[in-house]
Amino acid sequence: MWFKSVSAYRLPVDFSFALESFNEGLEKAALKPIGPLEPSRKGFVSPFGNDSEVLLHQASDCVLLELGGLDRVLPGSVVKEAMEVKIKAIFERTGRKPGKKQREQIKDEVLMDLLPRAFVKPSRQAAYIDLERKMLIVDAATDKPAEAIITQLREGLGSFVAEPVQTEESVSAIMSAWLMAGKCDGPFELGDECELKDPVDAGCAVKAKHHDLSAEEIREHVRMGKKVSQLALIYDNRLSFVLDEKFKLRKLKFLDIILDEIKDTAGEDAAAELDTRFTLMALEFRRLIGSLDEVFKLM
Amino acid sequence: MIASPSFADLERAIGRPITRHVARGRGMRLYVREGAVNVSVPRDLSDAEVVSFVRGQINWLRKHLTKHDTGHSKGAAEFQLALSADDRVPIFGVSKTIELASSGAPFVENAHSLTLLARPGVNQLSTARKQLINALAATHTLALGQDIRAMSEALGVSARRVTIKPMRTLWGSLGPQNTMSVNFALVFAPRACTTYIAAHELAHVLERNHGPHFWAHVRRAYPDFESVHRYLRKQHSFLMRLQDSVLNSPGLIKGGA
Repeated sequence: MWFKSVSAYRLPVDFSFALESFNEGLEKAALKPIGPLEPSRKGFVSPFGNDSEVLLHQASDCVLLELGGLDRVLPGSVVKEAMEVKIKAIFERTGRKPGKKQREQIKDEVLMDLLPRAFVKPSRQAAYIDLERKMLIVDAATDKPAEAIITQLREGLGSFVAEPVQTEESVSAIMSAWLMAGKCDGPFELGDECELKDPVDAGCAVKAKHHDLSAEEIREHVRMGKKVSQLALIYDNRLSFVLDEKFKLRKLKFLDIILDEIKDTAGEDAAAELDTRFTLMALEFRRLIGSLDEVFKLM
Repeated sequence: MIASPSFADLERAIGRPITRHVARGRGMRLYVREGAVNVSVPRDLSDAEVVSFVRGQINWLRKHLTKHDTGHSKGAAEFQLALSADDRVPIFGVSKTIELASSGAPFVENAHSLTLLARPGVNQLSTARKQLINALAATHTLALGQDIRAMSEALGVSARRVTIKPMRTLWGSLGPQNTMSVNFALVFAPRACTTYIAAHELAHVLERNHGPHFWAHVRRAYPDFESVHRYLRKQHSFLMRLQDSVLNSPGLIKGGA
C-alpha cells in the first residue's frame, strides 16, 4: 500500500476524532452489494482487503480508510448499437422513426436489459486522516475522487468539513525560480521531469521527461516567459514525486532507502505488513508536508 | 407622416456603426470601446425603443467619440511596455519601474522596481510581457493568500478554492461550493482592495446576499471598507483598461460577468 498521488485537504482546527463514533459512521456508509439495475455504488471497505470487516486502521495518529466502488461497465457504443437495433425494428414495423420521448423510453429499456448483465468493475481509493496535522490525505491527483471520499464521509458521519489545501506562495513561481537556479530550497532536489506553460496561451506547453532539468534548453523556455506548471522533485533522497501548480503530488515513488527499511517486515502477515508500510508512509508524508509547508506556506 | 429615425440614420449621424448586444439585465447601456459604439439592450426591446434611447444620448456619444478620436479618451491603453527606462507598472498601488535583466531569476520584485528576465532580441518584448504576467500573478497569489488567511480567522470561515483570473465586471465572486474567484486587476489597486475583496467574498460564505447582516460581517472583518468600496467603484474602468493593456488583449478576458 503506497500512495501514488496526494491531494491534501485541511480539516477544521477543532476537528476531533472519536474512534467509536467514526467507526460507526464508516459502517453506516459501508459498501453494500450493487443492485442489478444500479450503474454504480460507493461505500467504505476494509483497508485490509475483502476478507476483513475492519473499516479503519489507526497508527501513529493517522487513520487509514478506503472507499470502495462498484461500477457496471456498459460502454456507450454497446447501448447505442442495442438502441439502433430496436429503432430499426420499430421503423420496419410502423414505417416511422421513433421521436425523442420514445427514444428515451427505448434507452431505458436497453439499460434495464443490459445493466444486470454488465461486468461489475471494483475499485478502491485509499485516504488517511492525519490527526496531528489535521489533514485528509487522499491517494488521488485530481479533486473528483477526493470529493467522493469527502461526500461519503459526510454521509456516514453526518458532517465532515474538509477544504483543499492552498498555498500562500505561488507554487509555479517558486518552481520556476528553482528550475532557473538549478537547485531547490530545503531538502528538495530537482528530478527529471517538468511541464512548462505559456502564461498567455495556456494550451502552449512543453513537456520534458527523463531530461536533465539543468540543461540550457529547458531553462531557455523559462527565460522566454514560460512558467513551470509541473516539476519532478526528490525529497531528502527518500521520495520522488511530481508537484503541480495546484499543489497536487503525483507519480510518488518511495526510493530505495525507504524500501530497504521495510524489507525486514517481509514474511509478516498481511495486516502487520500493511501496518508497517502505512506507518512508514504516513510519517514520511508528515515530514514531506512539513517541508512543503515551510516553502509554500500552506493554508 | 414623418418616418421615425432608424439605426441607419443614427449611424449616419455619428459617422460609425453601432453594434447591438443582447443583455440579460433589464437596463440599456451605451458605451464606446476602442472607438466603436456599442449598445446593450434586453432581448425583447423593440428597435424603436433602442433607437429612441440612443438618440437621447447622442450628445454624450459625440463628445466621447471626439475624445477618442483626438486621443484624449479614457479608452486609451493605460500601460505601454516599451522596453525603455520609462516603463512603469503599478503593483498594489505602488508604481514600480520595470527593469530588464539578461540572466538570473524570471522576475525579481523589490520596493521600487520589478526586474524581468528578457534578453535583447526579437522576442524581448513578448518575453518581458510574459514575465510581467507571471510576476504579477505570483505577487497577487501571495498577497491574496495572506489576506484570505487573515480574513478567514476574523470571520471563522474559509473558501474551498481560490482562483485569480481576469474578469470584466466583478472584483470577486463566490460559487455555491464556496469556490472563490478574484479579479486579476486587483494587483494594480492598493493592497487594501485585495484585503477588502477577500473579506467581502468570505462574508458571502455566511450571507449569500448584500443585506445588512452581510455588511455587518464585512465590517467585522474589515471595518474601514467603505472607502475601499468607493475607490473600486470609481477606479473600475481605469483598472480594467490597465488589465487589458497589460495582458495586451481584451480577448483574454474570460468569465466573470
